[in-house]
Amino acid sequence: MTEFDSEQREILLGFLEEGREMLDEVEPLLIELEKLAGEAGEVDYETINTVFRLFHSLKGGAGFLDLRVIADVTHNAETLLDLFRKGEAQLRSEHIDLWTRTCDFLRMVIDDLEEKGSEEGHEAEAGILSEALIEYIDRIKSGEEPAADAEPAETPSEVEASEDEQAGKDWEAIGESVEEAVEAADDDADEEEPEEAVAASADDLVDPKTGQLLASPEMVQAFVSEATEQLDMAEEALLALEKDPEDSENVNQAFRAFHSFKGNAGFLGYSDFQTLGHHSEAVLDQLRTTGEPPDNKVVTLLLEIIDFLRGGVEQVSQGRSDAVPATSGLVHLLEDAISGQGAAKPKAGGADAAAPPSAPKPTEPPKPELPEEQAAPVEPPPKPQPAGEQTPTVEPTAEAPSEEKPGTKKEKAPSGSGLTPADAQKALSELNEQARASGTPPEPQKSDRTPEPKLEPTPKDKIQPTDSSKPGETSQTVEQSNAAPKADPGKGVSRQSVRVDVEKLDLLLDLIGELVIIEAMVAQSPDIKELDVPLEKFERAVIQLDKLTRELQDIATSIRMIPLAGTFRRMMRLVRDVSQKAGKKVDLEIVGEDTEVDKTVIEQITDPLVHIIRNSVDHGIELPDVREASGKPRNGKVILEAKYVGGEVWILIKDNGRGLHREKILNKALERGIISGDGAGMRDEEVWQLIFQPGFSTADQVTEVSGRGVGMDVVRRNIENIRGKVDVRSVTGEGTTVILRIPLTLAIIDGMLVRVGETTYVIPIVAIQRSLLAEEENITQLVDGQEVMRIRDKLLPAVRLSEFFGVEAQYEDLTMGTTMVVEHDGRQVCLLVDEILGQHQVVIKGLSEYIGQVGDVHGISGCTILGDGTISLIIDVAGLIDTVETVSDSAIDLETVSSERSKE
Amino acid sequence: MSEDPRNIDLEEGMEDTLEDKYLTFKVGDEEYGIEIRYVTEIIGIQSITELPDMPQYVKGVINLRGKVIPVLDVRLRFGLEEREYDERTSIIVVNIQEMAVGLIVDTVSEVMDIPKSEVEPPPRVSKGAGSRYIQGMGKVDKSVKILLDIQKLLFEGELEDLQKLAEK
Repeated sequence: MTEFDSEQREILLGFLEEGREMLDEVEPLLIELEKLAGEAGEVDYETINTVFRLFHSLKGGAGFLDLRVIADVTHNAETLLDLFRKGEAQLRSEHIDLWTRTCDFLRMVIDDLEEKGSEEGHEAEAGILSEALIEYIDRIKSGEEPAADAEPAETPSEVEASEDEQAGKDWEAIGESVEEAVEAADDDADEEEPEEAVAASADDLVDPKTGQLLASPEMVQAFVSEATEQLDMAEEALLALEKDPEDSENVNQAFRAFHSFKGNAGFLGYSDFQTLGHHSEAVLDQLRTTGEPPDNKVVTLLLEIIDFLRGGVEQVSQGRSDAVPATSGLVHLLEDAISGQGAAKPKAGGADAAAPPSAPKPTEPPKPELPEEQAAPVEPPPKPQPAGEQTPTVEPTAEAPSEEKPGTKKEKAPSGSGLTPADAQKALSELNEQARASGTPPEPQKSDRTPEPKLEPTPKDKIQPTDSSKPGETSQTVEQSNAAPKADPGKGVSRQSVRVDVEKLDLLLDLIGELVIIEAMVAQSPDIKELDVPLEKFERAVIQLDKLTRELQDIATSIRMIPLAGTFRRMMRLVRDVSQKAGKKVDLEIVGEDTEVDKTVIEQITDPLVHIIRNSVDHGIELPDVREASGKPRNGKVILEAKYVGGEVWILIKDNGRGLHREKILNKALERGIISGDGAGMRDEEVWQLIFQPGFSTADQVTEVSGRGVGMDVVRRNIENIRGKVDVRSVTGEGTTVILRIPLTLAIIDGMLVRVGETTYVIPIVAIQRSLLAEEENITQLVDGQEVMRIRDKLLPAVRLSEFFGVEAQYEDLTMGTTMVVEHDGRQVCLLVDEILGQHQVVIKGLSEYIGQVGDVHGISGCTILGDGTISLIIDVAGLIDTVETVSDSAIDLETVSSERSKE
Repeated sequence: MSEDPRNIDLEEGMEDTLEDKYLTFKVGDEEYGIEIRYVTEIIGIQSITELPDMPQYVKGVINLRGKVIPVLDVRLRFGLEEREYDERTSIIVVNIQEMAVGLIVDTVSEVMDIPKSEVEPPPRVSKGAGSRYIQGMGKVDKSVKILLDIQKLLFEGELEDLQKLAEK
């Protein structure tokens, strides 16, 4: 096993992270494959290809890091996939099983790698897995497996293969150059990793049938932000060039910017961008080669091109086409500029012509719509105009690019420059190196599929075949490419992201939490209150401070927000496994996976989701025959949905199974002594809540008959840990919905501080509807002593907080204190407090775990430390309403309950 | 534990020394001791925020330098009569299962070594309510310290309490 040095460690970390992401991506795809294969007997070759590429990338990365175990297993998984890609066998569940097993195994190895830095100890299992894979491979190869009915489109598959080979080689090539670069320039190595990742993932998204890119929104987003940067960089360099025409570094920089832009555009199939970028690059290349100071007009033209491209990039970012108006005209202008500039350049043209004219063009993806391609065989009209004098013509016929034809430039190249072909060649090969070392996208592109191999349009590309990569050059160019992106990060609207250690983030949030407390301490300091002077300025400053801390908090909180997509997609696998085991057909529909929640929430809901979904599939959904008999579709359905509702995130798990069985649950509850009487008076919601009782269903019948219960207390515990609630709604025969309701922010809430006697409580602002002074005539006392208040047209139960929490209140008279109408999920009650102290932003602190172990606090969700250091309890409005309603439903009057409680 | 001194590394040695050390305190007329390794600090009595729905001995929560920790009254836990807190009343903060909990005691005495050889198992017959939390009896000179099992002191009996509640 290799020991990793620090650079390799960085690469390893990158690999681990990418590896996990890839596995996350693979699993849903596999399930999709299986579904298609199972239902329609169809094979989605696109998906297979994507899975193939993901495994392939994993293999490449593992190979580079010398992780034999991963490399071997992925290799075999990939080989098996390849057979299906070629349509040599029919895809069945057992194949999918193998791959999912592979995924599980890889995940395990990756976890271990992270922990121990080695994949040791997994060799045996890898062997078993590989053997299983190889067995299937052999069976298919020897024709024991039935061939697929549908033949895949041949060409794409083959092209794909060669492309992947190419990509694989590139990986290796990059790997080598990385190694070299590591030796030469220590810090550069990890810079290259992400670049490569971009290239690899972009490669994954080529549609095998059309060669077109399936650009995901993320990719477009990435392209837009990068392109904006590149254009900014180019512009900056051009402007600098205008000021100081002698400085060739400016030309180089602009060239690099255009080159990268072109590459990225080519990847995503933005042909106009590519064409324009390409021609601009050609112009700059000529400038570079000649070393002549550029004509002002050329710079102006390039700047204009940048403006056009910016417009185009913006279109793309808005989801519109990449069409740049007047592309052909602009191309024409650029060509003219080349021929004009070319007048000052003799030798590069020589090198140009010296290159084999039939050299295939590996860097350009096939783009039939490219004007230059259409025009390739056409003899271009001679363009004898001297530099800068030609007038642009914007017409289709002008598309024939002059530099397409070798020799054109030579004829037109009159005067001399000090540059020798060797110099030019060296510079250019450097450039090539740079493109390769930095993983600029064009390299791994597929070979040209058009019947007529195209000529290299620029000298740079032509020299490529002669280029030899030397380590020294690599490191040099790496440095260049590193230097380039530093240009003015403040400019442009690009979106950049940084990976941050979660610990740092948590620390930041903690600090901000402390800051909020201290801020309150300062602002409400008794010392200040005692000062008998006007505090206008101080108060203004406090308001300002408050605003700033609030903003700081908002931002810090939003940093921790992560979309639920990853967690949700993992459930696809679960549904598949469980339903298969149970012999059921279940579809999982995911809605709102973009919904973002706090990182802690993600960690806390995964287990509950697993429990609930497993229950839904295992117990909720009926067997296909049963379903059919009751008039339901054979396939059951589970919908996993996330959405924002008020200040909460709701995660709904909805199934269309048999629903909960009220009687069974009640019987069980009676048996266990959880309820008394026959429970006839209980509302359904209360009955459903019984399933959360610890151990309620672990033992016997309820699980088997009506489903639910296994681990449901775990569900509730986890959700309550993050101050959430679990609701269950169920209609017998129609299905069950479990709703996890989780507060948006976990750390800080806006609360109203109220006083009841000596104690202060915080009521979350979101729950407060209004506060008022009660009038005598609005209060009615029911027979059982329950007081009811008439607020507008509603009759609401009045809850004396003092009684509820067993403390002494200042006022006995309802009309003396303040009435606060609070609401949760459509249910309202009036809370009676002595006084409102004011609104505060409070940092939520959990009551100690110990409290949860020795008692069951009702109506309190946590606590907070106030400015003066005292602890104030935060009222859990939902819990409070639940408690009140349960109590009143059971026809026990409030007073006895709370007095009993306070006696305890 | 091995007798061979070579088998004891430094850390184990440290733990060994901690193991025989007890913090002793008074509740009522008796002296009690808890293993020092659980104790993180000793503070004076603070303002306590009461919590609803708690067993009587759980007095509430306090603010310990920004941390909210629950405090329980050992007196009430033993079923003794409640007593006004005074300036000698102390809170022993212990850390168990990564939770900090404060124990309110009448007064803290000292830290002392009670070697295992001097610890007797708890008496098999006992009337006192506190007897079920006893880990052993430590003989120091002529007096006897009641060594408490902190785990039991904090957690035990909850099940029984619940059962009693259910019976009602």
